[in-house]
Amino acid sequence: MSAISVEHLSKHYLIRSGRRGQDRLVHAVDGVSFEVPEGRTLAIIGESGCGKSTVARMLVRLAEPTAGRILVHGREETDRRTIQLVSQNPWSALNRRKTIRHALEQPLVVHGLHPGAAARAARVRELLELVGLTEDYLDRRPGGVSGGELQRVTVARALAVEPRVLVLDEPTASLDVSVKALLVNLLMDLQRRLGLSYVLITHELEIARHLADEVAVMYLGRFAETGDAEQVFSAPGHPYTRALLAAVPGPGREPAAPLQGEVPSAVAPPPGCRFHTRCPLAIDICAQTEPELRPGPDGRRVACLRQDELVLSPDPVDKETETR
Amino acid sequence: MAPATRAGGTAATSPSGDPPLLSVRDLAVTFRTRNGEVPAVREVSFDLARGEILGLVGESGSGKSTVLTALTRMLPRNAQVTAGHIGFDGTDLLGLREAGMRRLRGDRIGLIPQRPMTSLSPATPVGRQLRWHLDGLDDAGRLRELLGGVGLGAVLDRLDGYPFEFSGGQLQRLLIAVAALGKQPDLLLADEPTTTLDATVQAQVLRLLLELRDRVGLAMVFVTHDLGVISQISDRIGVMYAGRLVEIAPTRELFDAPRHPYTQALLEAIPGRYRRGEPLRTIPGTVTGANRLAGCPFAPRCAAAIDLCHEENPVTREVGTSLVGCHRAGEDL
Repeated sequence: MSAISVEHLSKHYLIRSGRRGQDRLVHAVDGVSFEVPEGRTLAIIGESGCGKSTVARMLVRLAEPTAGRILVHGREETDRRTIQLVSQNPWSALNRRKTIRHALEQPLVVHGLHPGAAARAARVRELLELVGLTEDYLDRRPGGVSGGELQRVTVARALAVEPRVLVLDEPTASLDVSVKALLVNLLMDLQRRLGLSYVLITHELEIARHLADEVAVMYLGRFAETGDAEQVFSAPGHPYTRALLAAVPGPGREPAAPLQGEVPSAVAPPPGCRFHTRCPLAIDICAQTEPELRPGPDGRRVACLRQDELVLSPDPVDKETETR
Repeated sequence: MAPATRAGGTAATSPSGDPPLLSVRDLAVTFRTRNGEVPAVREVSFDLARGEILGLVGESGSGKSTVLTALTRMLPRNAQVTAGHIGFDGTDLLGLREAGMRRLRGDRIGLIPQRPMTSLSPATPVGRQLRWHLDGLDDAGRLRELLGGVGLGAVLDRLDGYPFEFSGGQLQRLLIAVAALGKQPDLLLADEPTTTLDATVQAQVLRLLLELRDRVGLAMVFVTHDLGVISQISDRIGVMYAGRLVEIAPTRELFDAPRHPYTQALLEAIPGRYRRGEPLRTIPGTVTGANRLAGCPFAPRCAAAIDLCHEENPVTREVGTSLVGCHRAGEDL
């Protein structure tokens, strides 16, 4: 059974009184479905405003879905402890005035786990050890601890209530290169040891590629492509996935300018395919008909009206998109 | 299709042999803090030729932004240049009076900040702010040319709007239009100019900066922590660690044959170099306190360190086309 299955999840926000005095509806997430098998990692990738963090917030019930269902181990009503969140910025996730001991004890107290001071203290030490920190950190406050170590504390705090699933919202975005690597190693290690399932939300494609079994590419509140991570990263199918991967700068690559313009507003998403305004392959019908995610011959799912014409080797389309 | 300047030149001298546009020698900047004086930048030296792009890369606290701020002489009050020389096109920047410096800032030395949103007044229409900085903008043709040059032709009719009505990518391109096209400076200083932008927009801005360099011939110092970004934009790259420039080399050389153990470790920490699920290489220890060390700042974390490394900071040595600050540079480590 899947650790998480999400069916037709949507979140619309109402923004009252814009400058012209009318209410507007933000389509942050619009009918996405996915599953995360036990012990595996799903990465949701996309640019800012695509809705990936809103999905994360709904998974940990910080936001109530407008429509759709989230099933955890097949059930809709579950203990909040099962899914825990690790957020992007450890400085704002922890109380500056409280010690790290406090941060780790608090979830145990709230959920009535390991009652008794001695049992709690033992559990707190165990949690620190799990993320590779020593007891010296217990009486320190966030101000005196580096970002990488602090992010380990937030991981330890999330693990305090023995979750089965961690939602990792840009866990490495605020960290330096060498510290990033430490956290990536820790996350892999914890998954192996504790059998955790991860939903990894990130715009860092290299991190996603390294950690994910499956990947979902999100654009303006919808999934453009989902599938096996290795498949999607090595031969992206959807024109947006191709552009996104081509935009990642790396040594020995010329800077690509694969896309014109910017992501349109989620207040008034374009009709038809949401990507058609920037898509190098768009034809008239793309502005009228909204494509559904359809499985291709290799099992991945692509939401593109021209899916059958897309050749899954990256070369033919890339040449087209890379012309200045 | 790398521009010609990208290939040539040794690390120290300019590729063409002309006198460098910018020449920094033994720059040192110290911050006064509650815990005493902290040397944020020490003995930093480099040259920059006209039309060349030098990338400065390093982790937070390595001093890369402080170097940039020192070049504009806009260091915070508690910071002070304690040693060194900055020559800009024959002028001694550190000896210049404030009035003379003001004439250079903007006109001959342009700056692109990290966050475009906080660099503009939130309460003034964008078009009026453009006019503050640029003369002759009432000429519609000039405005069209300027905005068209950074791919912003589409916002011409929206210039009575306020900054919040524009996206980060649009604002950053507006600032680039002012800094690079409007003023046509000789030197452009860019402090993490794409860090807050999305991947596809970042690609647009990097491409734009490279085009401008080819078109206008401006030289650039580009500061970032992102190794991918720096590999695409730079002709040469300087790697900073704990206030020191530990290695400076032509871009390809740096990625193909990193000489300093810190550069090597940094490149090996990039996940793209590993198979999925494989543990990434990490750097043991911490950078904390390294600024104050008498010896090589990286020595406590360096697998190749010998006794000498802890006692004496290495002088910079030339190895191939790289300049390396390492006692064991050139050895096969």
